[in-house]
Amino acid sequence: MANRLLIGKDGSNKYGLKVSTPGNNVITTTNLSFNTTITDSSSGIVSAGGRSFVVNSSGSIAAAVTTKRASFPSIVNSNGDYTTPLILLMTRLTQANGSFAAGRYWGYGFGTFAAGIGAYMDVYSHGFNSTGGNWTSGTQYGRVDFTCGAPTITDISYFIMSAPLENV
Amino acid sequence: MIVMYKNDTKRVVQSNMVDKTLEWTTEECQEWTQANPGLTAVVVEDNPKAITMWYDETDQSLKPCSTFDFTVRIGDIEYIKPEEDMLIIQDDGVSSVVFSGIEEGSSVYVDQVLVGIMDSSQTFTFTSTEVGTYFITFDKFAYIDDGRIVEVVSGI
Repeated sequence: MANRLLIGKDGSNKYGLKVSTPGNNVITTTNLSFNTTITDSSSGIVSAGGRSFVVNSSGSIAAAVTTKRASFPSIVNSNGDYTTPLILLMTRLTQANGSFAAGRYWGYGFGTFAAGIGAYMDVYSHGFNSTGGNWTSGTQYGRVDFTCGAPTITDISYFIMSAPLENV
Repeated sequence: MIVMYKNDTKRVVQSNMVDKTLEWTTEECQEWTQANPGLTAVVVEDNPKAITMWYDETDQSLKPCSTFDFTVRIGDIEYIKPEEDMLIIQDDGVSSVVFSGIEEGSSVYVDQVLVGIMDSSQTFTFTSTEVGTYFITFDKFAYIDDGRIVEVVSGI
């Protein structure tokens, strides 16, 4: 029977509590159902009852990019259930070159009057490959397509996050 | 992390920070590049400021971009923070927005259409007889592209 519970310091000198999925050694696997040592670059949480968010990936896309999209490893539990991630989207007017804002904000200089700058997302849980093309084989990826109201002048920044899925 | 840069100016226009195990292979980078003309995808060391950098193909590293530093003038008024102000001119073909201090060799675009390469005068003057909203942008090797929106109106 595999060791599935770790309390204390792990092999990376991080302290916390880890529980591996059935059949996996908590010391060596990245397939964890609960992990309190999550950092920005953690991965491998795919199922079960831990309740914490993992940043799958993060990035920025400049206004110069015509097709604004990002792909992410599909979130699926051992029953084959897919879910979409939580995505935090921020935008800014590229000419302002300032801070990003979540949600829609009002900016001057676009049209005669102040206008709202923002974007929306189409999120697909699976069905794509790692580069955003249609999936044919191997690991399935999801994809988020960003649509800006004013695409040529809007920079975006995003965080793609997931919570562990519950095994039934 | 994965970055995508413009083939002409080498400026990074998209960055995606992922776990090391999920970084793309050479084949995946090539696949994305083929599907996105004008851009190239590569894997580089993590850098949270990648979107403000350019990719040096000779040593395969990210380096800080330069930024444009120009002034904007309409008539006698010089705009201190033109990015925060509406730049409005009359549609008489005489009223103009004058951009000064644009680096020589910069590409100048109006509504994403290349209208010329900046000469030694480093000055671009925009006029119009057509009412509308125009986006003036400047781009150059290893620079972050920059620009301003100009509103042309009738009957000021």
